[in-house]
Amino acid sequence: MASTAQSRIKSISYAKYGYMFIAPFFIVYAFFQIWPLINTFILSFFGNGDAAFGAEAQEFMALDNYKTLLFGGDDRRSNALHDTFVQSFINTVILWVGNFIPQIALSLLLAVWFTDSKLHIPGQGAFKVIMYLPNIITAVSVAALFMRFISNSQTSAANIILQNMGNEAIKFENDPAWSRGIVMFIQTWMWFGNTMIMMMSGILGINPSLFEAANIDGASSGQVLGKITLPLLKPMVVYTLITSMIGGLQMFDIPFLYHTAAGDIKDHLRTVAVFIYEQFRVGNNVHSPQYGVAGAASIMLFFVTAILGIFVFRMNRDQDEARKKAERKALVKEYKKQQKLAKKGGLE
Amino acid sequence: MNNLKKTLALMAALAMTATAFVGCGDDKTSTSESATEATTVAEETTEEATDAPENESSDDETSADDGAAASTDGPGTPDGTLGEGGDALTILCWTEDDLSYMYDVVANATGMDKAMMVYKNVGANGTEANEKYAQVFAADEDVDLFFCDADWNMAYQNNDEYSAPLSGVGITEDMYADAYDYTVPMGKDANGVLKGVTWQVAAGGYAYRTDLAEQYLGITTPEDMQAAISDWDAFWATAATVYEKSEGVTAMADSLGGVWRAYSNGNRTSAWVQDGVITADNSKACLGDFINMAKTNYDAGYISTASQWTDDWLPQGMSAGTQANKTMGFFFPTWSLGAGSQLSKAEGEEGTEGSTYGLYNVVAGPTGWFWGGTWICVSPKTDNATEAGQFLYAMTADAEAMQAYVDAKGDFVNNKTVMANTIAAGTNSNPLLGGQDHLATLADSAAKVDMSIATQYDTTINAELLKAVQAYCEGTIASEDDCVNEFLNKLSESLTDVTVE
Repeated sequence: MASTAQSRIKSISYAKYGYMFIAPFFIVYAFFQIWPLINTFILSFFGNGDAAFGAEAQEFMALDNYKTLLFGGDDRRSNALHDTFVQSFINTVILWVGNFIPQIALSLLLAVWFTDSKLHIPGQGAFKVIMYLPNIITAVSVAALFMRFISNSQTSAANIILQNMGNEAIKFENDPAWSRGIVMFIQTWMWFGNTMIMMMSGILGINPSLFEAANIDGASSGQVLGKITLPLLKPMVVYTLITSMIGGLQMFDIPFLYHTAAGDIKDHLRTVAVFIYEQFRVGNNVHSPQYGVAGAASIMLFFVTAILGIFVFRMNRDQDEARKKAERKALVKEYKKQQKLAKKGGLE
Repeated sequence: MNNLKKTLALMAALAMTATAFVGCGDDKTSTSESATEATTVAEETTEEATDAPENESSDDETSADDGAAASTDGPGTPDGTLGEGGDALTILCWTEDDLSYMYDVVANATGMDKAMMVYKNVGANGTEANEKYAQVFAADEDVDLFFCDADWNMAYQNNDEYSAPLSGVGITEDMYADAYDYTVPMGKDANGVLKGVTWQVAAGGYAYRTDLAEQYLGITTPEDMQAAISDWDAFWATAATVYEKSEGVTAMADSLGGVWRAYSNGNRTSAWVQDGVITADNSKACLGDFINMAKTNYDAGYISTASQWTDDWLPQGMSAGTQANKTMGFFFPTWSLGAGSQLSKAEGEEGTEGSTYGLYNVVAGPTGWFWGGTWICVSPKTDNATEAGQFLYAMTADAEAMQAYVDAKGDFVNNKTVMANTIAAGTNSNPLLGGQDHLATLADSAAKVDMSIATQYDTTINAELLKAVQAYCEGTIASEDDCVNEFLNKLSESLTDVTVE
C-alpha cells in the first residue's frame, strides 16, 4: 500500500526544479569560493618567482614554505620570515584573548541586566542601538577616529592634553602594552554590542517559568544567574566563543590601520592576517608578491582555527546531550534490527 | 502549465548564472573594444603624423622644416609603435600641483587644447603612490603618461610591460644636450633605452626660520647661516645653541627622514645593492655613522620627534599651535619650495595665526644633496603618442616653454641654459622665502647631483631604514647592532629578488 503511494509521489516530484534553482549558487560558489580555496593550498607549495621581473617562474618546492615559516633556515631571509611569523602568531593570540574576555564579561552583564524583569531598565531600545552602533561604523573610520584620540601623533587628543599639563608627549604606538591595549579596547568596543544582542536572545530563549519558580522559591539574583541563566546559556556562549575565535584569529583591520607614519606597522601589532597580506603584496616597487609564503601562512592559520574550533566545541558539548544521542542511535539500531527480523517472519 | 513552469525555472536559473559571470565577461569586451580602437587608430596614424609637425611649426617659429631639424626644435614624429587618436592625454600622478602649471605651459608651447590634458591622481605620496599605480595599470585604465618618483622610476623603466621607449613618441636623447647630466642616465632602462625624462632637478637645501635664527643665533643673512651649518659638525653645534636658547623647544632638524635624505644623498658613495646582494660590509659603508649621529642628536633633542608626511611634520614650521616653533628649519628639495608645496604648508596661510609666511630663507646646508625628482614615462598602451611627445618635449626639452614654467612655478628645471639665464636675470623671487632667489642658492648643489649609485630598491631601503632608526631613537630597539640587524631583516623580507647577507 505504502509502496504505491510512494511511487506516485515520486512521479510528480518537484525536487529537480529545486536543484535547478539552487544550482546557480553552487556553480558560482565553486568558481569563486571553492577554487580559490583549493588554489591557496596549491600555491602554498610553490615558490615566489615573478616572471614579470625576469626571475624564474613559480617552481614547486613542496613543504619548503611551511618549513621556513615554522623553523626558519640558514639565511637571513628565512630566519626573518620565521621570526615575524611566530611573533605575529603570538600577537594574534594576545590580541584575541585580550579582547574576548572583557567583551564576553561586559556583554553578559549587560544582557542579564537588560533581560531582568525585576530591574525594568527604561530606554532599553536606545541603549541597545547605542551599544551596537560601533559595529556599524567601518573599521577604517574607527581606526581614523582612534588615531586622532590616542596615537604617536603629537597632535592627537591624548598627547595634546599631556603636553598642556606639562608632560612629554607619549608615542602610544611604540609601547607594546599601550598599543595592544588600545587595539583590544577598540575590538571590545566594536563587538560587545553584537555579543550582547546574542546573549540577550539566548537568555530570552530560556523558559520564563524557570525564573518564576526560582523567584517564588526565594532565590537570590546571584543564584538565578549561577544556577539557571549561565548553565542554560552555555550553547550560546560556546557559539560566541567559536565565532569570536575564528574572527579573532583572522583579526586584520584595526592592527593593520593603527599607525601614524605610512607603512609603519608595528611588530607587536602584526597579526597573522596582516603578515599574510604583507607577504601577498610585498616586493620592490612593482609587485613581486610572495604567494607561496602567504599561502602557507593562510593554510596554517586555517588548520589552527579548525583544530581550536573542534577542541572548544568538544570541550563544551553538553555531556548529557551526547549520551542521549548515543542512546538514541542505539535504540534506532535495535528497532531496525527487530524490523528486519519481523520481515523475515521471525519474532511475533 | 508544467512546461511553462519548467521554462520559467530554467530561465531564472540561467539569468542568475549569467549575472554572476558578468564580472568575467566585462574585461573581454573592453579589451576587444580597445583592440578595434587600436586598429582604427593605426589607420589614422599617417594622417595625424603629417598634421603634427604643421601644428608645431605654426607655433614655433624656428622650426621651419619637419625633417632633419625636427629633432632639435620639436618632438620627432612617433615611430608608429604606439597608439594614436585618443580623446584625452591622461597623466597618472600623485599630486596635481605641478600639472596645473604645466597645462598652461604645454598649451602655449604646442597649441594643444588645455581641455585635452587630464590627470588621474592616485592621491598618495611616495611609496604608496607606487602601489596605487600598479592597481591602475592592472585595471587597464587609460594612461598615456605617468609620473615616476626617482626612488622607484627604475622599476617601471626596467619593465617593458609598463613603460615604452620614448622613441615611440618622437623623443630622443640628443634633445637633452642642455639637460643636467644625471637626468638622462636615470631615464634609461637596464639596456640603455631612454624610457623617461624629467623636467626638474631636485637639489636639496635647508630652509630655516629667519626670525628664530636672529633670535637664537644672531644671524641675519643666509651667508652667515650657511657658514654656521657648513658641515655636519657645525650643524649639530649650532643645533645645541638653538636648543639651549629656545629652552628645549626648537630642534634644528625637522625630522629623522630629512636628516637621512640629506646624509644619504650627500654622503653615501656606494650603491646599496650590488649584483643583487646587500652585504654586511656594504650596508655598513652605506650607513656611515648615520645611526650613531641620529641617535645622539635625537636624544639630545636636536632632531624633532615628528615623522615626515605625518600631520605632525609641517605644522612645526609655524609659530603657533601645538607644534609651534618645534623646528628651526626643514630639509627641503627644490620641489618643496614652490607655491602650493611643502614650504607653503609649513608656513601656513599668510595672515592667519601663527603663520610664518615669508619668514624662511634657504641655504645649501651641511652637505650638497638632492631628493628625488620626477621622471615622466610613456605607457605602452597609450593612445596619444603625438600628444604625449609634444607634452614631453615642451616640458623637458623646449627651452622657451621651460623658461615659462620657471617663471610661473619657480621650479628648478632640467635645462642648464634656462637656469643660467634665470639666475643671471635675477627675476626669480620667491615670496615664501621673503623674496630670496632659491634657484641661485641651490644651483651649485644641482650641478653636483649624482645619481649613478641609485638602484630601483632605494625606496624600500629608505623606508625600512627609517623605521628601524626611528625605533632605535625612540628606544624600542636597544642597540645600534640590533637596529642594523632589524633593518637588514626587514629588507630581506621585503626585497624578494635581492639577497641580504
